[in-house]
Amino acid sequence: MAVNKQERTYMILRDRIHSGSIAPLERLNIDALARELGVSPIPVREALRRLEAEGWVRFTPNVGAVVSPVDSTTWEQAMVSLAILEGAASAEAQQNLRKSDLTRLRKISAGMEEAAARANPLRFSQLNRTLHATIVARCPNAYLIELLDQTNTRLDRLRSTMFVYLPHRSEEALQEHVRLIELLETGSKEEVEAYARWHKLRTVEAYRAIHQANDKALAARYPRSAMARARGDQAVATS
Amino acid sequence: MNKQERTYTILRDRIHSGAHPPRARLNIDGLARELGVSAIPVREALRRLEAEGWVRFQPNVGAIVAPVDATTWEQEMVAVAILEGAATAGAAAHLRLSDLTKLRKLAAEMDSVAAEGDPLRFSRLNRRLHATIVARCANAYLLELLEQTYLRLDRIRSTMFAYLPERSKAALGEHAHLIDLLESGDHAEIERYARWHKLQTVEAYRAAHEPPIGAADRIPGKRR
Repeated sequence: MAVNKQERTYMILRDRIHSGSIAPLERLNIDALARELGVSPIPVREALRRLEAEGWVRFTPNVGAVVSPVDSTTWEQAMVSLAILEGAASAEAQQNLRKSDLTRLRKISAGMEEAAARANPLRFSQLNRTLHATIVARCPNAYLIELLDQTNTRLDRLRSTMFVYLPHRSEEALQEHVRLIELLETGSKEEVEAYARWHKLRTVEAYRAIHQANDKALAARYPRSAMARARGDQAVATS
Repeated sequence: MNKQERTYTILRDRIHSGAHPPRARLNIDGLARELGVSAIPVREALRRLEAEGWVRFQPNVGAIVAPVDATTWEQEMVAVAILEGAATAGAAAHLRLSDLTKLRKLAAEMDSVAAEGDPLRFSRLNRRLHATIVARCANAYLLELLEQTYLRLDRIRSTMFAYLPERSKAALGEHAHLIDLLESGDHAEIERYARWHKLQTVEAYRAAHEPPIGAADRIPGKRR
């Protein structure tokens, strides 16, 4: 089934935003995009409205469409919550993991190394999600898993992958997965929980470390936003 | 309040407090006589409670108090323990002296209520005590998840607490220790203790509802 012009335009723009090739707060010039994609401005405008409805794009006065900024506070809070839940769920899952699960985990881990080597952050992120999902799937507490799904969905809406902005994090995560799999095999329940939680929190730390650098860069480009942020004006800083 | 509303409220409170325990039969005529009404408002009240999940109508038996889905309850309680443990540790740094005073007051109130044997009030105070602590946690999303889990538990939790009088007594001492820890302990210890404290309720329930070891052998074919 052929994908129509509108759908194709939407998917291209969405993927560019998701992958980070168009950065948060970067302007989306409708005419330029239309020319580049070989369509009229109409499907571009419609695609942007769809993305706006999904929270990825914002139409701001005098500027037009921009990629929504990451609401870092909500993202951080959700990531910390995820760390807590996933730590606990991983520990609960440990006793139910089979040899075939561990084999599968090592395979996914290898796939992630390949994705990192090929600089494919989307694939890396997908596999990362799969790795952790494979572990917690063995957690007997169905409600805990429900909370995890909910939190992951919330994170998806905020930012589909942080690895685009945290290149060193990818390398570290690969090593940490190896260690996590080791602990799942031979560590104690407490060790699994503590390490799984710490592993997730490392991403928050890495983000915070470069967040300051990002803030400065954004301030240089959009001084009005920076002033508003400095005033603690949430209406600008949040999507 | 009219007859129907009054009948509903009385029956609902009795089920919530555990006066009518899970699986207990609710005899419509008996209740009507006792409450001084006809069977009609009683039947209507039971249908309302059925719609809310508190009562079930079983063939050949009639109305019973809905059995507790112990597995779901346990899973949700464990989730609370995990989330509240973390939120309690997260709150520790932000608690003020006035909060600690308030906490000690609530703990003292719970002491006297436990002696009176008012499980509903005890349960509400317990909720307030923990809510006072976690309100100082800066992670709004974590608190959102916790609140959601409490809403899920509301259906069964207050009934559960009514069944564990020994648990209520033990909880008093644990609250005192928790407040001490909040004043001067480290975050890891606070989280561990707050989680453990919540899990104790699950343990108490399991102990109260597990058949004693060997019972299965003595009574072949009988399972709880």
